[in-house]
Amino acid sequence: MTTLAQSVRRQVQGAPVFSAWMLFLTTLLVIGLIAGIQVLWFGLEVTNLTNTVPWGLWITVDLSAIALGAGAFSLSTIVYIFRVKSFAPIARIAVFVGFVGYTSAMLALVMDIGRPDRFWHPVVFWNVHSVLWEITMCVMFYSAVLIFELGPAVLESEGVAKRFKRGPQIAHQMHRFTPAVSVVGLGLSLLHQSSLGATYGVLVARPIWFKPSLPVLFILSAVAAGGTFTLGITVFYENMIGKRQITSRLRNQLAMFAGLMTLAYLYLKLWDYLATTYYSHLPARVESTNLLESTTPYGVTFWWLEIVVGRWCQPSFC
Amino acid sequence: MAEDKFMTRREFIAAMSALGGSVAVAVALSEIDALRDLIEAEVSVELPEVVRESDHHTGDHRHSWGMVIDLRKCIGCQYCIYACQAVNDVPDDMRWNVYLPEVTETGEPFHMTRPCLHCQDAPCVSVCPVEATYVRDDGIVMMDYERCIGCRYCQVACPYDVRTFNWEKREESSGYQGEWGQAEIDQRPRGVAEKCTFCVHRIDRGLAHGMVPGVDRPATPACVNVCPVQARMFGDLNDPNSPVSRIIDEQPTFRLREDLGTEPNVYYVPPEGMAI
Repeated sequence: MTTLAQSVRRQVQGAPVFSAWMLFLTTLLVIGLIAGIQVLWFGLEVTNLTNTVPWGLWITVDLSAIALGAGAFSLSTIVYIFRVKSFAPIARIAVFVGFVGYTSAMLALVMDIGRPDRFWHPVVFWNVHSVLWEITMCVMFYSAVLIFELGPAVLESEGVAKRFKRGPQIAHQMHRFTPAVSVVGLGLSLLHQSSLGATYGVLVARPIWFKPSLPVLFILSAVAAGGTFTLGITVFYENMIGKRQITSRLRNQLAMFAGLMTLAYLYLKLWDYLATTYYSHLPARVESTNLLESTTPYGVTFWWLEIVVGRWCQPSFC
Repeated sequence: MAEDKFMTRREFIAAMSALGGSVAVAVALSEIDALRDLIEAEVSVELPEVVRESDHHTGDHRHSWGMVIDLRKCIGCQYCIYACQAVNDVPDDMRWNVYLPEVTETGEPFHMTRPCLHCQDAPCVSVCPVEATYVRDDGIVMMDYERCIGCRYCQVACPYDVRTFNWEKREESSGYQGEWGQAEIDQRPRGVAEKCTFCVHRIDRGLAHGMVPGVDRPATPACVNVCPVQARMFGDLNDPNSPVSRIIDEQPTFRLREDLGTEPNVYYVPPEGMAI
């Protein structure tokens, strides 16, 4: 019989790096817990958002960061629909990363709405014209897809299979449906990853955002970012446990894939800039950048952080 | 490969005949009148529709409420803003009406005020994920504070910066009561968006008592009543004899950012020296 304390001690002695990482994560969790309680207790005034900036940087964290989970759908598509078997090891990790990403995005969204007690309203009160409604529904259904794709791995794992004898059998049955489920997942992902861009693209009130290219750009950046995020986590995990999970050939292929996606993104982005910002001379867009410079303190952060670092440097780091 | 089969032929035939049998029984049962009425009553209940009826007052489609703001007459006293804050209990940092000193292209100063423009193709309405905001049949863009989830997409989507959000729980009234009027509606709870309603409570109650909004003062928005120079007028855009329709017929008017296609129900009479 091993007690909990004994098993923890053995793990700490066995893997000091892992323990340090767990301590770091626990610290983050405690900070997050305190912040979450503050938001729920005092309301959204603690976020420093105002009526002038109703969404602010928060929206990139809780809504647009769903793109980081996109590795799940792009790599699942490669493995289960295009049948590239060599990608299978990374697809399992991607599905897990995607599951963590989507569930935490939903939790963060509950924090970011003014009435967390009404988080279920989009399910009951439909507005089919709203891209935000569509994203909510797609994220919900896609989470179910991720659970289904993750299910076999959980059922086949040693601990579960020992206690739940029929587990592997059920997992085997679920495997048969994986290609079909992947197709559904691909559809749902393309729908809501593009709608994340449309969330900003449809806003006639915000001239800098208002353009038809955003949905396409968001899909490309999600595929690139999701793949690299999964790869980054895999490499991090490999270094921590000191054991290879994927071959270096697969790693190179994946990096190449993400790099090509990023190049495609940069190419479209260049034309997008020329067409909608530089050559268009749209009065509203010129006026809004002028207003940003002259009446708000956000001019510097917009040009240097969002455009230079966010749009141009960040893809080249990936 | 036998164990891989989803069903045997025998099971398939059994399942199909069970399905067919149950459909046949259902059809046979629905031939009985009493049962058919019962089934129809059950089937006809559509939950979202019922909830919408009770929560959403849709107004009368024969009317189309609108406002005219005469920028030649406005003297910039801001009484409309204070009266609105008293009647709708709106604090200073969440004003439903705003005042902006403006100049024409030739440099002539004039006074600009802006309520919610009650767009007939409102960006805030199409983006709301839960239909908490909607255009009533009588043209008023309304909020359902019981349904709003507080995502603030409407605030981001509104080209006119009309909407405000309840960032914190409000402790006291706006402070304009007494001098500028009495609070006629409840304060909005923390975490929902809000906006100008054309004083919809006055319109609905006035119509129920046979009054004409825009003509009878108790049925007219507070900002229109309080204006000392009659720069604001209210009425039914569908009625050719209403005060607003007559001005729109006889004088040049414009609406804010018509290029966006939002179709506002608030019209402005341009100030002297402004070409439209």
